[in-house]
Amino acid sequence: MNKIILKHKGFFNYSILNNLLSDFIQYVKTHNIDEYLFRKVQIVMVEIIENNYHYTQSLSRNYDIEKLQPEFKLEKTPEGFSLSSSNPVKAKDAEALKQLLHHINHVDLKKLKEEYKYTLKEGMHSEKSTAGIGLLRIAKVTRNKIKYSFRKIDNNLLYYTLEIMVNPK
Amino acid sequence: MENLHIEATEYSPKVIFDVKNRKFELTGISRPEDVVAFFETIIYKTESYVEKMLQEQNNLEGFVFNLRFDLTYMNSASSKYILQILDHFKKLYIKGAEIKVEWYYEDIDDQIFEDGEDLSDVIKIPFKLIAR
Repeated sequence: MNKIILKHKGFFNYSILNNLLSDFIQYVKTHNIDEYLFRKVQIVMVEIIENNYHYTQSLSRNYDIEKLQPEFKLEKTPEGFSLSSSNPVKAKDAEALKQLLHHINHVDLKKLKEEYKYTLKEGMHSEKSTAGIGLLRIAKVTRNKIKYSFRKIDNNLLYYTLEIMVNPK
Repeated sequence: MENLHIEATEYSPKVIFDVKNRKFELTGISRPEDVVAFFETIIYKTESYVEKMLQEQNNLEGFVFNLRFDLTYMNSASSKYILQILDHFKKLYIKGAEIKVEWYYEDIDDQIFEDGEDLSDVIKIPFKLIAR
Protein backbone atom coordinates (compact mmCIF):
# COMPACT_ATOMS: atom_id res chain seq x y z
CA MET A 1 0.00 0.00 0.00
CA ASN A 2 1.24 3.47 -0.87
CA LYS A 3 1.73 6.03 1.88
CA ILE A 4 2.05 9.76 1.22
CA ILE A 5 5.21 11.08 2.90
CA LEU A 6 5.26 14.64 1.56
CA LYS A 7 2.74 16.71 -0.31
CA HIS A 8 2.83 20.32 -1.40
CA LYS A 9 0.29 22.24 -3.42
CA GLY A 10 1.16 25.80 -4.35
CA PHE A 11 3.96 27.76 -5.99
CA PHE A 12 7.44 26.59 -5.08
CA ASN A 13 10.50 28.52 -4.07
CA TYR A 14 13.91 27.67 -2.70
CA SER A 15 12.79 27.67 0.97
CA ILE A 16 9.88 25.34 0.25
CA LEU A 17 12.27 22.91 -1.47
CA ASN A 18 14.62 23.08 1.53
CA ASN A 19 11.74 22.51 3.96
CA LEU A 20 10.48 19.51 1.99
CA LEU A 21 14.00 18.06 1.92
CA SER A 22 14.37 18.59 5.68
CA ASP A 23 11.06 16.80 6.25
CA PHE A 24 12.24 13.94 4.07
CA ILE A 25 15.56 13.71 5.94
CA GLN A 26 13.58 13.50 9.17
CA TYR A 27 11.45 10.71 7.70
CA VAL A 28 14.57 8.83 6.55
CA LYS A 29 16.07 9.03 10.05
CA THR A 30 12.94 7.82 11.80
CA HIS A 31 12.14 5.06 9.31
CA ASN A 32 15.59 3.54 8.83
CA ILE A 33 15.70 4.26 5.12
CA ASP A 34 18.84 3.04 3.39
CA GLU A 35 21.38 5.85 2.72
CA TYR A 36 21.79 4.80 -0.90
CA LEU A 37 18.05 5.04 -1.55
CA PHE A 38 17.85 8.38 0.29
CA ARG A 39 20.56 9.87 -1.94
CA LYS A 40 18.78 8.78 -5.12
CA VAL A 41 15.44 10.18 -3.93
CA GLN A 42 17.16 13.43 -2.93
CA ILE A 43 18.64 13.88 -6.42
CA VAL A 44 15.29 13.27 -8.12
CA MET A 45 13.40 15.47 -5.66
CA VAL A 46 15.76 18.44 -6.13
CA GLU A 47 15.79 18.12 -9.93
CA ILE A 48 12.03 17.88 -10.35
CA ILE A 49 11.18 20.65 -7.87
CA GLU A 50 13.88 22.95 -9.29
CA ASN A 51 12.57 22.27 -12.81
CA ASN A 52 9.05 22.96 -11.58
CA TYR A 53 9.74 26.32 -9.95
CA HIS A 54 12.20 27.67 -12.50
CA TYR A 55 9.76 26.95 -15.31
CA THR A 56 6.71 28.21 -13.40
CA GLN A 57 8.51 31.43 -12.42
CA SER A 58 9.29 32.23 -16.05
CA LEU A 59 5.76 31.30 -17.11
CA SER A 60 4.15 33.57 -14.52
CA ARG A 61 5.73 36.64 -16.14
CA ASN A 62 3.51 36.27 -19.21
CA TYR A 63 0.56 34.12 -18.17
CA ASP A 64 -2.04 34.27 -15.44
CA ILE A 65 -1.39 30.95 -13.71
CA GLU A 66 -2.62 31.84 -10.22
CA LYS A 67 -5.30 29.14 -10.37
CA LEU A 68 -2.99 26.48 -11.86
CA GLN A 69 -1.02 25.72 -8.77
CA PRO A 70 1.95 23.36 -9.03
CA GLU A 71 2.03 20.19 -6.94
CA PHE A 72 4.61 17.79 -5.56
CA LYS A 73 4.04 14.44 -3.92
CA LEU A 74 6.39 11.84 -2.45
CA GLU A 75 4.93 8.43 -1.66
CA LYS A 76 6.41 5.34 -0.06
CA THR A 77 5.43 2.27 -2.03
CA PRO A 78 6.29 -1.42 -1.51
CA GLU A 79 8.89 -1.04 -4.32
CA GLY A 80 10.56 2.17 -3.11
CA PHE A 81 9.49 5.79 -3.49
CA SER A 82 7.24 7.39 -6.06
CA LEU A 83 7.69 11.09 -6.81
CA SER A 84 5.30 13.22 -8.81
CA SER A 85 5.36 16.85 -9.84
CA SER A 86 2.79 18.93 -11.71
CA ASN A 87 2.84 22.41 -13.16
CA PRO A 88 1.30 24.41 -16.00
CA VAL A 89 3.24 24.50 -19.29
CA LYS A 90 2.87 26.51 -22.47
CA ALA A 91 1.24 24.52 -25.25
CA LYS A 92 4.17 25.21 -27.54
CA ASP A 93 6.66 23.90 -24.93
CA ALA A 94 4.53 20.83 -24.24
CA GLU A 95 5.19 19.33 -27.67
CA ALA A 96 8.98 19.53 -27.26
CA LEU A 97 8.69 18.18 -23.73
CA LYS A 98 6.56 15.22 -24.88
CA GLN A 99 9.11 14.38 -27.56
CA LEU A 100 11.98 14.59 -25.09
CA LEU A 101 10.19 12.40 -22.52
CA HIS A 102 9.23 9.86 -25.18
CA HIS A 103 12.83 9.77 -26.38
CA ILE A 104 14.27 9.41 -22.86
CA ASN A 105 11.90 6.50 -22.18
CA HIS A 106 12.95 4.69 -25.34
CA VAL A 107 16.74 4.77 -25.14
CA ASP A 108 18.90 2.31 -23.23
CA LEU A 109 21.08 3.32 -20.30
CA LYS A 110 24.27 3.53 -22.38
CA LYS A 111 22.64 5.94 -24.83
CA LEU A 112 21.06 7.88 -21.97
CA LYS A 113 24.49 8.41 -20.39
CA GLU A 114 25.92 9.53 -23.74
CA GLU A 115 23.07 11.98 -24.24
CA TYR A 116 23.48 13.32 -20.72
CA LYS A 117 27.16 14.05 -21.38
CA TYR A 118 26.39 15.52 -24.80
CA THR A 119 23.76 17.84 -23.25
CA LEU A 120 26.23 18.88 -20.53
CA LYS A 121 28.84 19.67 -23.16
CA GLU A 122 26.44 21.60 -25.39
CA GLY A 123 25.01 23.53 -22.45
CA MET A 124 28.36 24.39 -20.87
CA HIS A 125 28.60 27.84 -22.45
CA SER A 126 24.91 28.45 -23.01
CA GLU A 127 23.39 31.50 -21.27
CA LYS A 128 20.12 29.64 -20.79
CA SER A 129 19.54 26.80 -18.39
CA THR A 130 20.41 23.51 -20.04
CA ALA A 131 17.17 22.19 -21.49
CA GLY A 132 16.40 18.63 -20.52
CA ILE A 133 19.47 18.00 -18.37
CA GLY A 134 17.35 17.51 -15.23
CA LEU A 135 15.10 14.96 -16.94
CA LEU A 136 18.07 13.06 -18.37
CA ARG A 137 19.64 12.99 -14.92
CA ILE A 138 16.44 11.69 -13.31
CA ALA A 139 16.19 8.86 -15.85
CA LYS A 140 19.90 8.06 -15.52
CA VAL A 141 19.79 7.98 -11.70
CA THR A 142 16.57 5.97 -11.35
CA ARG A 143 16.96 3.69 -14.40
CA ASN A 144 13.15 3.87 -14.58
CA LYS A 145 10.71 5.13 -17.20
CA ILE A 146 9.18 8.53 -16.59
CA LYS A 147 5.38 8.53 -16.61
CA TYR A 148 3.84 11.76 -17.84
CA SER A 149 0.54 13.34 -18.82
CA PHE A 150 -0.69 16.65 -20.19
CA ARG A 151 -4.18 18.00 -19.45
CA LYS A 152 -5.46 20.79 -21.65
CA ILE A 153 -6.36 23.98 -19.80
CA ASP A 154 -6.98 26.27 -22.80
CA ASN A 155 -5.36 26.97 -26.18
CA ASN A 156 -2.22 28.34 -24.54
CA LEU A 157 -1.68 26.18 -21.50
CA LEU A 158 -1.60 22.56 -20.39
CA TYR A 159 -1.16 21.04 -16.95
CA TYR A 160 1.84 18.71 -16.98
CA THR A 161 2.39 15.84 -14.54
CA LEU A 162 5.56 13.78 -14.23
CA GLU A 163 5.86 10.63 -12.14
CA ILE A 164 8.95 8.56 -11.44
CA MET A 165 9.80 5.61 -9.22
CA VAL A 166 13.02 5.34 -7.24
CA ASN A 167 13.88 1.79 -6.20
CA PRO A 168 16.48 0.45 -3.80
CA LYS A 169 19.61 -1.17 -5.34
CA MET B 1 46.44 38.17 -7.90
CA GLU B 2 44.66 37.54 -4.61
CA ASN B 3 43.39 34.19 -3.40
CA LEU B 4 39.70 33.40 -3.38
CA HIS B 5 38.05 32.03 -0.28
CA ILE B 6 34.29 31.49 0.06
CA GLU B 7 32.93 29.78 3.15
CA ALA B 8 30.43 26.96 2.74
CA THR B 9 26.78 27.44 3.59
CA GLU B 10 24.19 24.73 4.13
CA TYR B 11 23.60 24.49 0.40
CA SER B 12 26.69 25.97 -1.27
CA PRO B 13 30.25 24.65 -1.25
CA LYS B 14 33.41 26.02 0.30
CA VAL B 15 35.70 27.43 -2.36
CA ILE B 16 39.43 27.90 -2.04
CA PHE B 17 41.55 29.15 -4.88
CA ASP B 18 45.12 29.41 -3.64
CA VAL B 19 46.75 31.22 -6.53
CA LYS B 20 50.35 31.06 -5.28
CA ASN B 21 50.22 27.32 -4.63
CA ARG B 22 48.07 26.64 -7.73
CA LYS B 23 45.38 24.88 -5.77
CA PHE B 24 41.65 25.01 -6.35
CA GLU B 25 39.13 23.30 -4.06
CA LEU B 26 35.37 22.92 -4.00
CA THR B 27 34.00 21.17 -0.91
CA GLY B 28 30.53 20.40 0.40
CA ILE B 29 27.03 20.60 -1.06
CA SER B 30 26.46 22.39 -4.33
CA ARG B 31 22.91 23.51 -4.97
CA PRO B 32 22.99 27.25 -4.26
CA GLU B 33 19.77 29.23 -4.49
CA ASP B 34 21.15 31.46 -7.24
CA VAL B 35 23.58 29.18 -9.00
CA VAL B 36 24.56 31.82 -11.58
CA ALA B 37 25.42 34.44 -8.95
CA PHE B 38 27.29 31.92 -6.82
CA PHE B 39 29.55 30.65 -9.60
CA GLU B 40 29.98 34.01 -11.37
CA THR B 41 32.80 35.21 -9.07
CA ILE B 42 34.57 31.85 -9.16
CA ILE B 43 34.43 31.62 -12.93
CA TYR B 44 35.57 35.23 -13.35
CA LYS B 45 38.51 34.60 -11.00
CA THR B 46 39.48 31.37 -12.75
CA GLU B 47 39.23 32.94 -16.19
CA SER B 48 41.32 35.97 -15.17
CA TYR B 49 43.94 33.74 -13.58
CA VAL B 50 44.20 31.46 -16.60
CA GLU B 51 44.42 34.41 -19.01
CA LYS B 52 47.19 35.95 -16.90
CA MET B 53 49.11 32.67 -16.81
CA LEU B 54 48.82 32.30 -20.56
CA GLN B 55 50.06 35.86 -21.13
CA GLU B 56 53.01 35.47 -18.77
CA GLN B 57 54.17 31.98 -19.73
CA ASN B 58 54.86 30.71 -23.22
CA ASN B 59 55.37 27.18 -22.09
CA LEU B 60 53.55 25.69 -19.14
CA GLU B 61 55.38 22.39 -19.07
CA GLY B 62 56.44 21.62 -15.51
CA PHE B 63 53.60 23.65 -14.01
CA VAL B 64 51.25 21.58 -11.85
CA PHE B 65 47.75 22.69 -10.87
CA ASN B 66 45.86 20.76 -8.20
CA LEU B 67 42.09 20.74 -8.44
CA ARG B 68 40.19 19.05 -5.65
CA PHE B 69 36.45 18.40 -5.73
CA ASP B 70 35.00 16.93 -2.57
CA LEU B 71 31.26 17.27 -3.02
CA THR B 72 28.58 15.35 -1.16
CA TYR B 73 25.79 16.64 -3.36
CA MET B 74 25.69 18.46 -6.68
CA ASN B 75 22.64 19.47 -8.71
CA SER B 76 22.69 19.44 -12.50
CA ALA B 77 22.76 23.26 -12.60
CA SER B 78 26.06 23.23 -10.66
CA SER B 79 27.63 20.71 -13.03
CA LYS B 80 27.38 23.24 -15.87
CA TYR B 81 29.43 25.80 -13.92
CA ILE B 82 31.94 23.24 -12.64
CA LEU B 83 32.51 22.35 -16.29
CA GLN B 84 33.12 26.03 -17.08
CA ILE B 85 35.77 26.19 -14.33
CA LEU B 86 37.41 23.03 -15.67
CA ASP B 87 37.25 24.43 -19.19
CA HIS B 88 39.37 27.41 -18.13
CA PHE B 89 41.97 25.15 -16.52
CA LYS B 90 41.93 23.06 -19.68
CA LYS B 91 43.54 25.97 -21.53
CA LEU B 92 46.59 25.51 -19.27
CA TYR B 93 46.48 21.74 -19.86
CA ILE B 94 46.55 22.32 -23.62
CA LYS B 95 49.63 24.52 -23.16
CA GLY B 96 51.49 21.71 -21.39
CA ALA B 97 50.59 22.18 -17.73
CA GLU B 98 49.70 19.19 -15.61
CA ILE B 99 46.17 19.44 -14.24
CA LYS B 100 45.71 17.02 -11.37
CA VAL B 101 42.00 16.62 -10.69
CA GLU B 102 41.04 14.74 -7.56
CA TRP B 103 37.36 13.88 -7.39
CA TYR B 104 36.23 12.50 -4.04
CA TYR B 105 33.17 10.36 -3.48
CA GLU B 106 31.74 8.29 -0.68
CA ASP B 107 31.78 4.54 -1.21
CA ILE B 108 28.00 4.47 -0.94
CA ASP B 109 27.53 7.30 -3.45
CA ASP B 110 27.70 5.99 -6.99
CA GLN B 111 26.04 9.17 -8.27
CA ILE B 112 28.89 11.49 -7.23
CA PHE B 113 31.27 8.86 -8.64
CA GLU B 114 29.36 8.88 -11.95
CA ASP B 115 29.27 12.69 -11.93
CA GLY B 116 33.08 12.63 -11.76
CA GLU B 117 33.31 10.17 -14.62
CA ASP B 118 30.86 12.21 -16.70
CA LEU B 119 32.61 15.55 -16.16
CA SER B 120 35.99 13.98 -16.92
CA ASP B 121 34.62 12.51 -20.16
CA VAL B 122 33.04 15.80 -21.21
CA ILE B 123 36.06 17.99 -20.47
CA LYS B 124 38.61 15.40 -21.66
CA ILE B 125 40.86 15.70 -18.63
CA PRO B 126 41.56 12.57 -16.58
CA PHE B 127 40.20 12.64 -13.00
CA LYS B 128 41.56 10.64 -10.10
CA LEU B 129 38.40 9.23 -8.51
CA ILE B 130 39.04 8.75 -4.82
CA ALA B 131 36.74 6.93 -2.38
CA ARG B 132 36.59 8.76 0.95
